[in-house]
Amino acid sequence: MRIQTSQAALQHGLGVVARAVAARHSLDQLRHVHLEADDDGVRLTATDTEIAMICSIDAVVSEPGAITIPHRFINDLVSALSSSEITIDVADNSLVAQIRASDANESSINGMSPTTYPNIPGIGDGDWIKIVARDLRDALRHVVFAAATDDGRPVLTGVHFRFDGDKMTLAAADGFRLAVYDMNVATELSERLEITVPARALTELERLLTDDDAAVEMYIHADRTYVRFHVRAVQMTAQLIQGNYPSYDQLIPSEYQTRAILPGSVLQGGVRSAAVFARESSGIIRLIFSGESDDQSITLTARAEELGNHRGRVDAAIEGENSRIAYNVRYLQDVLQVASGPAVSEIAMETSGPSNPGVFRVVGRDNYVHVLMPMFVQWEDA
Amino acid sequence: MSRAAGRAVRDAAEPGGQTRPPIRQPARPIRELADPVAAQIAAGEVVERPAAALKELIENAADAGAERLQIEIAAAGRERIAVHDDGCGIAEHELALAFRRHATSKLERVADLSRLASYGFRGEALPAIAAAAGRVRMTSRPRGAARAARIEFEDGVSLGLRPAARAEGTTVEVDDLFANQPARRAFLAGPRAERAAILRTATDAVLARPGASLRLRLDARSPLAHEPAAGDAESQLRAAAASVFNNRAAERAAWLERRSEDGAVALDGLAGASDDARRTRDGLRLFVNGRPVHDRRLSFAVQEAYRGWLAAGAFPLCVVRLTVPAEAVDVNIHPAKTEVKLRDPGAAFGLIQRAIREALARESYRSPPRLGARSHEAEQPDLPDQAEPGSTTRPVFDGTGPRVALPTPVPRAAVLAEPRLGGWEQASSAVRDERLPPLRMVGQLHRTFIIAEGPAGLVLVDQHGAHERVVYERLLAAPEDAARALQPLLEPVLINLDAAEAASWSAARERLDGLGFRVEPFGERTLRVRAVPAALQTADAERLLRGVLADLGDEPAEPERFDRAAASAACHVSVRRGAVLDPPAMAALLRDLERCRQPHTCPHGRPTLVEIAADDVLRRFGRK
Ligand SMILES: Nc1ncnc2c1ncn2[C@@H]1O[C@H](COP(=O)(O)OP(=O)(O)OP(=O)(O)O)[C@@H](O)[C@H]1O
Ligand SMILES: [Mg+2]
Ligand SMILES: [Zn+2]
Repeated sequence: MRIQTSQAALQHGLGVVARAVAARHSLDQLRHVHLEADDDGVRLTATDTEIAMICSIDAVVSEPGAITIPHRFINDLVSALSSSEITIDVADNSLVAQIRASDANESSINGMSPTTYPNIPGIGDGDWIKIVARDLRDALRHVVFAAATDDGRPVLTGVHFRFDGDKMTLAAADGFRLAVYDMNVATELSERLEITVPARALTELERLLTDDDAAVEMYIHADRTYVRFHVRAVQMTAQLIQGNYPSYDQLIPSEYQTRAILPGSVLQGGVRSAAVFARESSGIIRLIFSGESDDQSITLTARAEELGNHRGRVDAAIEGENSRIAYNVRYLQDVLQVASGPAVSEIAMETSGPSNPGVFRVVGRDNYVHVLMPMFVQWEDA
Repeated sequence: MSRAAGRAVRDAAEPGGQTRPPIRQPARPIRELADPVAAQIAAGEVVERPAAALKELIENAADAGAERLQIEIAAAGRERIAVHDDGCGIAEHELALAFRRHATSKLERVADLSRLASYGFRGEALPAIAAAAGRVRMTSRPRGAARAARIEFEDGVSLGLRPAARAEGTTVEVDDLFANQPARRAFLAGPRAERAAILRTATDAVLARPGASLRLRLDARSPLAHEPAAGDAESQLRAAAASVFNNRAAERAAWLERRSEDGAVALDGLAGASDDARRTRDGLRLFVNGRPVHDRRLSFAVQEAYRGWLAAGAFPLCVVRLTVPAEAVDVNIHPAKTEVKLRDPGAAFGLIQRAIREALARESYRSPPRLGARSHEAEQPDLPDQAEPGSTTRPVFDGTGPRVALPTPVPRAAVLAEPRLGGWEQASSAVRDERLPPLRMVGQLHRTFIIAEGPAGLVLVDQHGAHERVVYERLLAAPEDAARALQPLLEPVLINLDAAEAASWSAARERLDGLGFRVEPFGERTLRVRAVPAALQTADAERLLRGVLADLGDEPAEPERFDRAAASAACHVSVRRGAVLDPPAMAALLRDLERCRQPHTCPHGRPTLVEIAADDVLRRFGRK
């Protein structure tokens, strides 16, 4: 194998696939990066067996071939090189990569046979759709955080994708909360389709997505075992989570008693102060909605045993009855982070009393809903 | 907003759930249960196990002014529970009424019970028992009446009234208590656990009302036969303690008697000597206005007061009876009335601490304190617990280079110095704790320990044990409201149990309930989890619950032993050894540990941290 490439291209490629390197794994291969050169160009591959990243880089292939070498080692080396041109040579039947830089640095790195490297599954003739990067990124930002981190119910550690006509619905839930995001996609699938993608893979995907109109292709393996995303020069493959995703539509309340509307950043600010106290106890933050004509506000209270109390107030437009509800501050902050994103100005909080699920929406958009189960706490009667 | 209003009504009924049998409907409201938590708690069960039924019958007898109670139990209460009393009886024409729901006479008859309000107030117990059991008979002859009458129910249906023969008083006989509740029967703990619960109920009754005689025949044995003693409250309670515990313990216990400064709260009781301490919490009995209560805050107060007097892992034998104005306490928050809510728990807490501390101090002057092997501490009973592993055992790593043999163990106080309280007064004035000085996070070792720097040297913190300690204290010592804070699930989770798990759940259900789990039977051997304690913050309710049930096994229920259930729950949600922690997470954990009352040990009693004094390190480098 013999290739010529630029330091920048190689460093970029190594950086992208680094997310899939199992740096602490006892299997050598999983700590390695797989280098492959053929007529299609040069590809870097890394996998931790849950996900695989393949990154194509600009390079001139003078002689096809392949090798696997320790990722960290070559990554450190390439970052240290200052010259722009790099040549990598692997002699036939050799397991040593000769790395030559234009500034006369010359190194050799011992690698392993490429035949021992895990096979990254192909996608067969499955289904595929096209999504705009910006839209997908936005969708992921709204749901991925709500997926479960405990793997007691594996399907809940994933994000559920439902394709129906030109509509794609993403949902994530962890037992206390549920986030659902609807969007339209350019391509229609021939049939309704549901898959569950590991949240972790989507977190990695989110990093790859840019805030522009670039096209992302999503391939779903014919026997629904893998999904692969193509983002520019990168392909990310992930194993799908098998099992029925619980039906969630009936968990979304259809009415409310009280609705508060206010800028997401304002509420976020109020919650941030209360969180300092709430975190010290069991994460309890209390929200009291006042809809009097002369006082339209939300009072936020939290207390930390022995340390002290907090009481804050933010203005909000309140519709409906006065009411109150307590949330785990961590979940509240999670959803607010989303709702206070750049494209969002106001959020709506809907409640139907302290023991019913609360709902969070983005004002002006009806394609997102977040349901959060309140905490049951003792209320001191004012 | 009519739509909204309709919804609110449905909400109020919801916490009971649709699956509950009719007897579990909330009782006629004594006060409006506007609060969903209160409603949920009160909507539980009146009679969930034989001991609970027995408790209701004993309380009815007490309300009737009975001075002699005789109890017979067969097959740990499943086959038969019978209570004979010599109380005021019920008129023949009122017998049927007594079994009608929400019919109570207690509001007229309380006059003769001067000190306490009546135990019953809902008119719920007898109808619930009759609905559950295969056969219930009540035979009664009111004082002064010429004859007795009997009413009989089979599977909840009245077979009518008939004349009977009996001396003045009442007999209630309950056969096959769970005939009409097969699901509940499937969840019963083993006979051993049920017998223990029955004995607990009967002995509580004796300690609460030592002036009445009580005999218990439990299967083939007679484990309790109490005859009242003449004399003042102290002699009466000592006699009760002799019946319940043993003569020696009753004799050498210190008498407690104290009133709060404003006179509103009164306390009496017996503080057992340290030699009578026990391995379990069975000897720790709390009463509020004559009701046995399981309140972890109050029992914590008792244990704290004993700190320094008992070896680690020992629990005091101690009877504490509080009398508070009726309006300062709410007894209607738990269906079995075993929980009370004090308006001012802090006052009771302080009163308990002072009373016990004072009594123990008094005793220690009268007779040399009995501190067992640790009698050398006698002059300073309030020293930090020297038996705690953090100070005497100093585990050191293997396999990471030369074994570090530390010279003479440095007392913990010297390494992680805590301003030592000088005298008795300071120690007794507040709950003393052993907080850590600020620790600076340095890094992680072996994916198991957090390396930290303390004021006097290097500190290695076991990440799992430390996290456990933090969660454990949050669970147990949560503020009054947070203790009740539940995190309900968006959708209840169903869990199928095997036989061992089912038995374990029956034995542990009260404790789990007390910690903030909301779990109910849902058909044979299936549980429905509706909420988990807020302090646990895990969405994986199933794994958590199974883990706890496996840890607890089906040891006899000791409702006050929240600690093991809490320790187990904490264990299952804490970071594992082997988990990689990022620096902010480690720093946060150290900060949380610094806030703990007993940061030096995990809930299982193992050290959470090991200290290596800077001086030792210098010495090993030959610099000192
Ligand atoms: N042993 C007894 N002696 C005399 N009267 C009794 C006895 N047991 C029950 N009663 C009468 O039957 C009524 C109903 O008893 P029940 O236990 O069902 O209700 P309660 O005690 O009034 O309230 P609670 O449900 O809170 O126990 C009582 O109010 C009382 O009048
Ligand atoms: Mg009663
Ligand atoms: Zn543990």
